[in-house]
Amino acid sequence: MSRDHAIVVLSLQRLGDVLTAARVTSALGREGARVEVVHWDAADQAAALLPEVAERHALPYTTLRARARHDPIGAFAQLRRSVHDLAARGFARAVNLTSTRPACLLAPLLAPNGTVSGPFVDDGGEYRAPHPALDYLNTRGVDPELNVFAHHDLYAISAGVPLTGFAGLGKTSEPHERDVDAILAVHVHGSSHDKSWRDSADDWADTLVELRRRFAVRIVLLGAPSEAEALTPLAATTGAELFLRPLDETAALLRRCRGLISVDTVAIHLAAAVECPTLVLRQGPARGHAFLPGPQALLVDDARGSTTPRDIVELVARHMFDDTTDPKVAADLGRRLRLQRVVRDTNGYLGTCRPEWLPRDLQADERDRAQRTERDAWHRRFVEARDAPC
Amino acid sequence: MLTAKTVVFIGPYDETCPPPPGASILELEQAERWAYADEWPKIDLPLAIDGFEIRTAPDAPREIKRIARHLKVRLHRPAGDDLVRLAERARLPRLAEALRTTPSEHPVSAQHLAAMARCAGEPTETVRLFLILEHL
Repeated sequence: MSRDHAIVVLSLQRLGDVLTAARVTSALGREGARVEVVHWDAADQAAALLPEVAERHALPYTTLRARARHDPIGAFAQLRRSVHDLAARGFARAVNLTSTRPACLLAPLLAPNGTVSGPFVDDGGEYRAPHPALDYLNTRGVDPELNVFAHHDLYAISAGVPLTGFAGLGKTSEPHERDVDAILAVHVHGSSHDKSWRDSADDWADTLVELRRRFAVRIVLLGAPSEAEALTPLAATTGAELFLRPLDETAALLRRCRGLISVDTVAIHLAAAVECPTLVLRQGPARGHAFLPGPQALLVDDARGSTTPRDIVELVARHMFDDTTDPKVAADLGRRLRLQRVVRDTNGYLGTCRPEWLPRDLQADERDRAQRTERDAWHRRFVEARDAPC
Repeated sequence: MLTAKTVVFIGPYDETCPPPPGASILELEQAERWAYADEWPKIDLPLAIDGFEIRTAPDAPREIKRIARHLKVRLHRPAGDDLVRLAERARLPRLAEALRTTPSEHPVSAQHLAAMARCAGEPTETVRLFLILEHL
């Protein structure tokens, strides 16, 4: 394939964010480009799952960061070697999916004779956001109360990538059949404490026992290998199984699961990519629209302690088992909790709506309609930008 | 047995452990031999001993400082002449000249080097790379 069609996608983010780059690599690859990805080494497992990627290049974040503090010239020489090796590949285009300073500084260096899509820092040191979607992201998009877009949709649209069509994980990004078993996956630990639904893993015990009893399913606890010590007692007391495996194996498991209950953004985006229904218990920085997963997700914005173990079981019944037999319970859930189902709107953007099994709520309906209207209005601006003559 | 001329290098310098080549400390070349973590059973943190000097950052983890105190050695990171030589080796002649004419006894950060490189007329790419390091 000609280097004229080689595109480097820059995703200097954490695991969950890198997974959301799947839509971009998938679309660019299907258009016939040779797609290569630059990522931090710590996100290697996620980058390995991105579809249509011919080659990956990991930059050593921890090493560079540590070295920059005690030996900045040595770190400089190390980084320069990596960047020169990448630039020598002759990319026609660099697509930057990250707004951080390092990524915006690096993007122009990767395609010195090509173009840059996404945010970048110019030679004068000025930050440039050459698309209205990025303007939105940097203004209203950073305010959880105002933002109505998933940030990964905004990056994708700024890269000229369509938001429709399947964008799952895997070599070729073809849809996989979901062969569902009686398994519920549960991820109890967030990447930071302020995302956790409960203070300790043990606080989940009652919930897991009730889930097993009510739905006659196997419960599988997901986590990193480093969480084994914390999760083993919970598994032992509840009869759950531990699954502390790499992301590719976790994705394969989620393809077989009836659903996932999770506070963790990595697991949530992984489940979205394999179309596994998810109950997302959101706390702290994960709230708002910025990190919406896919349309199979039900979001529970939980003021700490407001959601009980019984609530979780009832929500699973409705979202994953289509059990709507007790409208009083649904009404009670809708009154006490903020519940939103993730949807894709007619233009392909992720948004939210009130779950259909809840009683009508005019205020919530109006909020959903207002957000759709706002997305429509911004979409028109984004399309005008795409169609404007250069 | 560790000697005064032994250099011990233990992570997190993933790409330079075990060195050489490409080690970040000039004096590594003068070491008589390399010793690795398993030769020093009680140490599992980043550490380089060159003579009686541990070469690591003053803000290194507490354990390194404890070891340094135990060995009665001083913590050190490149400054002054060291930086000039490092800049020359990195093929940054203008920055090296700027460092030579404005010597510093203090450690110099990536941010400081980005500013010096810009003022000295190093290429934009050099400034960018130092700025990237500053923001990691």
